[in-house]
Amino acid sequence: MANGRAKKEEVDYDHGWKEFLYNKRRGTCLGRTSKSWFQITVFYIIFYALLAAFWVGCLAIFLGTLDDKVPRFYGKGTIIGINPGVGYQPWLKENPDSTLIKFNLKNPESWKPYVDQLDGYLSKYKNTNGTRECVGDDNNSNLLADGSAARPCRFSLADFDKAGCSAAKQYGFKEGKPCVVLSLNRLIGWSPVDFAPNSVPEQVRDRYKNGSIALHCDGTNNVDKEHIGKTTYVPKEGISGKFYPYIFVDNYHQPIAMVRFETLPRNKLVLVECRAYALNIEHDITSRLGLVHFELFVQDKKE
Amino acid sequence: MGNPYEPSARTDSYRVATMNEENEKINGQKLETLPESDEKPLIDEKNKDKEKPKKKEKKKDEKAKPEGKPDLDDLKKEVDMDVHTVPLDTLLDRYQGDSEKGLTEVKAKEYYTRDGPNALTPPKETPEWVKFCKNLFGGFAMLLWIGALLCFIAYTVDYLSMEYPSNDNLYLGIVLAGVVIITGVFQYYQESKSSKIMDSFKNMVPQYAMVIRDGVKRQVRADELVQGDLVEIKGGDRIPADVRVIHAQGFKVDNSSLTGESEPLSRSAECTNDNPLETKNLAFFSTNAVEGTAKAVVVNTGDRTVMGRIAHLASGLQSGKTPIAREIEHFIHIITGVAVFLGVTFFIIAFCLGYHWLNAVVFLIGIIVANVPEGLIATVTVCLTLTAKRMASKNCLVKNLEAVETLGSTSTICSDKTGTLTQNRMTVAHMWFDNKIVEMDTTETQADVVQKDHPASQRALFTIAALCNRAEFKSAQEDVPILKRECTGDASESALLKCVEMQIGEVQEWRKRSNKVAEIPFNSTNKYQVSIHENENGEGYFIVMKGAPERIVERCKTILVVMVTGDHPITAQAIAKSVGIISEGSETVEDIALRKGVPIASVNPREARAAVIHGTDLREMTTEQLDDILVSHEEIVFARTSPQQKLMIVEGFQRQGQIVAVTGDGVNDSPALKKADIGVAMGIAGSDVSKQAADMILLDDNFASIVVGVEEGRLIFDNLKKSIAYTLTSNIPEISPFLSFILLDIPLPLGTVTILCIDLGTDLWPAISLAYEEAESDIMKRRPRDPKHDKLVNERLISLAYGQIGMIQASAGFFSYMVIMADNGFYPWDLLGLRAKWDSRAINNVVDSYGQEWTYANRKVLEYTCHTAFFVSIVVVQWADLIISKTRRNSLIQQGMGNWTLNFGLVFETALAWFMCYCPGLDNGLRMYSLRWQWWFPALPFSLLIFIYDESRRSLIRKYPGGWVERETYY
Repeated sequence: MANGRAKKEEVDYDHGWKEFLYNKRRGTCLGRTSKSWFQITVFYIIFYALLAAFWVGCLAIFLGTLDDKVPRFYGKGTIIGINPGVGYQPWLKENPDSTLIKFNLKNPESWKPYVDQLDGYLSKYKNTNGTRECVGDDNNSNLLADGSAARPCRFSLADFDKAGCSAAKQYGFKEGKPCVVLSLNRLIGWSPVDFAPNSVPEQVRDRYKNGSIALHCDGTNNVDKEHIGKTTYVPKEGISGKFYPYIFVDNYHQPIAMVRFETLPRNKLVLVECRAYALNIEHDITSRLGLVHFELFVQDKKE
Repeated sequence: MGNPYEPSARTDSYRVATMNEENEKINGQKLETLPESDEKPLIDEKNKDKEKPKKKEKKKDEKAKPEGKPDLDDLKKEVDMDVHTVPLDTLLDRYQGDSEKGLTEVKAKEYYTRDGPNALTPPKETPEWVKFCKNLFGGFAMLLWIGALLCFIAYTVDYLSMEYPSNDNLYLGIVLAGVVIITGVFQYYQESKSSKIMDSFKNMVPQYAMVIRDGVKRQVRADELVQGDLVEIKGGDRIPADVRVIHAQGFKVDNSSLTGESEPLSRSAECTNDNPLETKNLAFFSTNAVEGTAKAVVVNTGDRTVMGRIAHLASGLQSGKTPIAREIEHFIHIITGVAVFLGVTFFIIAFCLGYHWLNAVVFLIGIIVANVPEGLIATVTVCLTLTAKRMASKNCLVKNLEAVETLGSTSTICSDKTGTLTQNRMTVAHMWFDNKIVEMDTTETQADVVQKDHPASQRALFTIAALCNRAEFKSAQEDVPILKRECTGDASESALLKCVEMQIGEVQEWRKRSNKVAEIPFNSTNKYQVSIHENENGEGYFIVMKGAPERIVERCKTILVVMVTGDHPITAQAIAKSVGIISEGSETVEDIALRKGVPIASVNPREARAAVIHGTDLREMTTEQLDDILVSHEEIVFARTSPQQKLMIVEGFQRQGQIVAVTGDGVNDSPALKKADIGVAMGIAGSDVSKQAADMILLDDNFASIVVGVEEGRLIFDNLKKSIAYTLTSNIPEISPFLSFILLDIPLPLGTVTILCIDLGTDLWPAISLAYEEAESDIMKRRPRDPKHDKLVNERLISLAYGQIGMIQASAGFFSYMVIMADNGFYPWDLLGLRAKWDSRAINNVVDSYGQEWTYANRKVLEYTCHTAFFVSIVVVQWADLIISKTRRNSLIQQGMGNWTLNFGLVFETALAWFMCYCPGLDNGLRMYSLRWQWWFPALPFSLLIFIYDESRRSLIRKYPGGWVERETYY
């Protein structure tokens, strides 16, 4: 035939969406018969099972190439880098985006969450399994060589208890003199480098001790600097250096220090910036390296 | 993509006479105050009632319609008038005119105020800003605007409430708005560029007419003529209005702009036919007087002329959306549906999971951005433009970009035989002998090459072309280049003559040497021409013969070609048979009746494959009867059809769900051209109005160019499928990071800006390059696609792109993400549930799997590095996707890698990804961080998997035609 349409094959289509949902004539639901649905379901189950297997296989092979003590990339020139940040506690999970510590002296319930959080945070130091007492110059520097026999130094909370930052005293919250935990971010292989005796920064010159990381807290802005009042550092010299370098072992005790705000004003928000000082800690406000920000707000009015 | 050509392209070129502003005002006023039809007193009411009693009744019910607006139904009716039948005196009395003195000035002024100027009112044009807005808010644009708006809201809230507001949302909002605006401007530019083509065809100059008023003869502008004016017309003039001839001296008119047939027709004072189009005493507005002189009285002016009615009919018709526009709309609906569904679902889920509403809004933005293939509309536009350019180089000028594809979907071609199947100007483009095709130089400026070393068979061919040929050069043209010389004789013979003159030379001498003894001239029945000549040495004779080498229709084998012509049925049938529209052995009802010796009425019309239908029969048919004819006959010829009937036929086919192409050149064809899914006008012989109404123009008037159009149209449809499949696939690896972010609580694996880098950056060239892909098989052997069920984007394409390849791509992305996280200390299982801590600025010490603690800033650098790696993996798996998208059925080995645009696309996307990854400064702008070299490779196994999987899938399709794999995955 030179011209004209070829006769159309008769294909039965659904007419309208109702027939698309269920077509009695052809026994189709959503355009497919039950057999067709079964086939396509089985196909996709098999397809995805095989794909998942392939993916898991690839991942397993890759994970097999990893070291279980150190990540492939750490230290200098990597993303995590060699400049630690500073962390603080108590921080509440319930309000993850907030760095505000706010309580009312007239209401014990208001500081309970902070006390509970600190209790939880410090409880890990009660577990002394696999740790050892490090007295004098003993430190963690030989941990790497020890391998699996490594026993990290034990951190004691005794200093805090003496300074009135004990759990029993509810970390000073009850008296309106809250103790805040400060810690330096753990970086594998990082140890503090001492300042030369004449170059110790002014802020910590009075209490700096070689081998330790001194801390200094002050108001973020000038107003805050006026309000922050007296601060006490526990221990005085800051975070002890004998727990460095950090190594990934069971029950590593991270050294911490506390700062106790002795004369906080009532009913005033105070923005606090705490910096850590060692020769190899640089401070960068935008990326929060070597420092931490939080806010304190102590109330004493009846609610 | 809106159709920019709707009423817009047909502009003031209808205006045969130019109007000044004042006139236009008067005209506008008049249109509103005019009673429904000014022609009423002229209409033979009796006749009309007989014709369409039903419609008439219906119309009376609809009287509420605004007055003065041209009524389409009215226009669709036949021209019905008595001005040619009534005695001249009656007519003149009607106008209070005089056959000697004409109208009085006063009367003329009065009529002018009543009727307005004698010019066609230009159809309303869509204002440019409306067209621009359509581009700015159509398609995906709305979705992206919403995304941009949400971004600005999120940024404002952030800015007002946060200490360190992140500018990311602001940038993203600006980028999204920029994308919409740029895409909109780009489309608008493309559309206006192709509609500007028409400006070159406008060559209307003010016309003047010789009019007698108050017995004084004077020249006035044609638009000042009114009913009853007495005019004098001479050869060379354009007829200024519809006129009835009073006196004529050898007066001949060329009605080709109205009927498409260019034979000069003589005109005299006698009424020879009831049909106004056939009678000798009427001449029509905007046709040409060829020779002689005449005195005539104006019977109709402006929009009420026959030409005006046709032009208005054409401009008032809504040509509807092109098939590709419908397909793209369908596809946009699907994608928008998915985006809105996912967006809203996850907005609600996020809310239920206790996310802050602002976060939920950010998720919503992410899902919208990931779902919308931002670059796709631009890709489609570019693909269509490329095809349009390719077609233009093959002498098919496409006015409407979307019409590029329409010919490919065409299932019915209505062709007017005159001037299309046989055309008036031809050149020899190829010679075929010894089974090879030799291209001939067809440029008009070429030097006159005379070659002597032709092979024997080519020489034989030249001998035939020279001798079996009645064309001759007109005298005194020796200085003119051969191809520009004028010839006597038929167009194809002239072409042959010119070719021989150019290649051999001295045809006249040759003919003298080989004296012609006898000949059978060409006619459309035998389709050949034979002549017998004396041998040059005077001994014996030789015979040369030439005939129609091909039947063009056969090359459109799967498309129904219907002939619609103004010719006499007998001629029409003969031509239809000669070009193959009616095939050998097919019988019409009349043939059967003749063979059986029974009256026509007793033959079952369904027995006949072919039908020749006369316009007068068509006039009396109901739509149902017409539909019945269109369905029951496979080979149809319509003869003696009026413009209105042509329109009916097109509408009839469209009711059958056919996609109709109409070819034509006369004004009479323009309503049908406009109504057709694709109107094809002739570039040389076509009238301006037909070119205005058409979507495509065959610059060389060669019907065979339509075949090129069909081929290109089908190819671009296939390639757009591939392009869309390629682009859509990367949606899954773009959406899944967001979904897992919300559902698995992991740090975000891929950012919104990075998604835009893929959609508008790396994916763009490769997607466009698929338009250059060659056809996988002989697309001309395929049946035209079924527009109802054979969609551009169907569930199989979605299933393959989203369900299969997309999922492999997503796994590749997640694998890269896991690799980078683990390389830096976060094991996959430790990532689960980490999101809240990870994204909190308040936490400066998030612990990884090795007990290291990460500051917020470091975490974010790690996260953005992951985004970059995810982005790079998508590029890597898109390599494979691009290669598998080259074919839908064939193996890559069969298809080859010959598409260099595509090959460069592979290089380009890689280079671009590399640049984005390593260019300094982009870490701030695009959040792209440098990758370690080994992080380019995690996606490679998946890329390989995609290639192997799809090769196997396609081999199963080839091995088991119609099998399950084909039914479920062949898109």
